[in-house]
Amino acid sequence: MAKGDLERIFAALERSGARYLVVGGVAVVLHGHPRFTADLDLVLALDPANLRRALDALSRLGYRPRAPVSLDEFLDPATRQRWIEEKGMTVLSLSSPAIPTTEVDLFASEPFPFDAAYGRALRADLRDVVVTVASLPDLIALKRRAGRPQDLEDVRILEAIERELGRDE
Amino acid sequence: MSEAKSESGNDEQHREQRRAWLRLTYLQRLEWLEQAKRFAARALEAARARAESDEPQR
Repeated sequence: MAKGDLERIFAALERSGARYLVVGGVAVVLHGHPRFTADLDLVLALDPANLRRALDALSRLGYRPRAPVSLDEFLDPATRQRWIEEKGMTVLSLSSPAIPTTEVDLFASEPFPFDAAYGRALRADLRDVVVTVASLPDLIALKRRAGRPQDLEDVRILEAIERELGRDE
Repeated sequence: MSEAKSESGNDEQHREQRRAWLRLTYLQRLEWLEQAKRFAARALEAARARAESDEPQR
């Protein structure tokens, strides 16, 4: 069976050896709640070597920033900080003509201490590739902070899933 | 009373749906999302085509 768009992206990231965490709607689906999302939200470890690996992998899939900037500019911490301060940027949105139905959003700063969250992450086995997904508590905390109606609805459901999983233990 | 019963019935139904979802593999969950996206893309494309064909001819 042909790989879906998301599997292709995850496989490319795995091949690159990049450290990343899936957050956002795709993480909600993988944790066990069926809800629609067109975006893939990623938190990358922002050290230069890791960023380079991840950006190269995404670039090979045709991903480019939607804004008129280059992917390489995202590598520079001072530039990212300027975008955050001057443009209020939270994520850099990428699109690819090869994968038009999946936009990738990269967090411009780590929304939680990355290494600790990476250690707690869910390793979701998709048969040919293993995806690293922010843990339920980390995802809930992130969504509570974001605080938009969709985030708060996700929090309500993720907490119900947490209770459900707790009952099984 | 019947409303309270109905709400409790809904809660139980939601819990059962959640349990059913949690029994799916990660791959099955992701495939559901991929199918939903393909369906949405086709629906959007069809809506665009309808809108174009509805435009008055000049």
